[in-house]
Amino acid sequence: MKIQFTLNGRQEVLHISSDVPLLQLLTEYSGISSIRPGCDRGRCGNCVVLVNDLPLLSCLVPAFDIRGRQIVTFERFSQTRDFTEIQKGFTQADALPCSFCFASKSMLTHGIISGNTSPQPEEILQAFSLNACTCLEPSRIVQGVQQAGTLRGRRRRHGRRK
Amino acid sequence: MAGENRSPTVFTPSSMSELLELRRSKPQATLWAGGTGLMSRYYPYPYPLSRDIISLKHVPEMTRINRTERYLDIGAAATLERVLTVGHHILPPVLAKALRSVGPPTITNQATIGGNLCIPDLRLNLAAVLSLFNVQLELKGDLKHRLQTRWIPLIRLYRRDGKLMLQGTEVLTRVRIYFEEGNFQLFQQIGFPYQHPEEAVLFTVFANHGQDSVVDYRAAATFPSVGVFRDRDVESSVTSKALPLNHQEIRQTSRLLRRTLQEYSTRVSPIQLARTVRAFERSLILLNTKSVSR
Repeated sequence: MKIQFTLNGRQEVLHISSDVPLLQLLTEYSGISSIRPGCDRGRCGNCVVLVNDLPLLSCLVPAFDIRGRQIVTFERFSQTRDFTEIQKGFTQADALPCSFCFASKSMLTHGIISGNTSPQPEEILQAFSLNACTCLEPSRIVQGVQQAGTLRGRRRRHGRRK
Repeated sequence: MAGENRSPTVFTPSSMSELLELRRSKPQATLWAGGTGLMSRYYPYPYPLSRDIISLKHVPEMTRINRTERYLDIGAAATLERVLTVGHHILPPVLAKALRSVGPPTITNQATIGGNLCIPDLRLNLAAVLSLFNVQLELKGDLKHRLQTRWIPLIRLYRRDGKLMLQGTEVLTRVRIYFEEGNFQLFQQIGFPYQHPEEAVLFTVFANHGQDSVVDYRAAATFPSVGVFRDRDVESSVTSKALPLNHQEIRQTSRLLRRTLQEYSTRVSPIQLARTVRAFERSLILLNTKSVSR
């Protein structure tokens, strides 16, 4: 099946089986190395990508479902200002995720603070409940996300004033 | 593995009539809404049982959500996250909790209300809670060689053994939830319905009480591998009782529940039985506490 989509701002066309999971499509056919294949069944939460700016588990998205959609992986996301804020927020909260889950955790954080820059702890923990890596204590994750949210909120307010 | 199998043919109808026509011509095709259920259960590829897939996402009626003063109309392929967003402030808290219990936003951004209700062999988080409300389901399909639309209450979507009761090539197209107010609402997920369906229980209560008595008490439980359980006798044994319920009354009603559950299905496992009775007793104790603290 011909699959046309945008990957990290670039148009891609692949001829591939329609039901190949996006995870496999990205790692085997598009040379993406930031995704960590784990359980392949939506349980470990380490394969998060942004699909039309929404964080999704790439192992649960079939190839036919990404036609015409915009996929952003950590390779691209890590070059954005949104990421810099998240990184800064986590550093300020003294919460440093390990290199294995950093990509997924930062994109999950982006998903939370895009909608609400002052998320409540329950909302944060719910969003991270499928992220199986235990490199950070839950309280640290909450602090990191809230700090990142504060920075995002500040930027939005400044942006509006200008 | 990919090379050994033909790539499934994916149909993406863009209107309801196109969808129904496809459904009629390809009755064996897999209906694909969010795909979270199908993708996480079948390995290496989503659904080896059918070579045709009908994607529902591009049919506008299937993803539309309408909100009126009396009810919320939800297209069956609307994502749970959208239902939560549009229904913010108006969804009964117990329903919002059940929707959130399905998973984090990485799942609810993709999973749909129709998918949650229509997985053929599993009853999941929303079935029990929706059975407590006045919920009507719109089904469209080919009945006796004619395209027909019918509305049914949610409980009639399932047979007693928990299997789906869709006729012919019917498709669930809309879920209509009428608003109701209840001053005691509880949703409890015990265990993991997806990973351990034989052990998990989803228990839910929607009740109204005054200071001295229970005006209306409804309770339902989902046993993922068995079905949805709701019993009027158990409910009426609590309704109109004086509050707070004493220890003996709680024991009597929970004994009634245990008996009714044993009669309901032999497929309810001992752990599910114990969990349900415990959750039911807990709900009555919480109801007592709430009535006293008013």
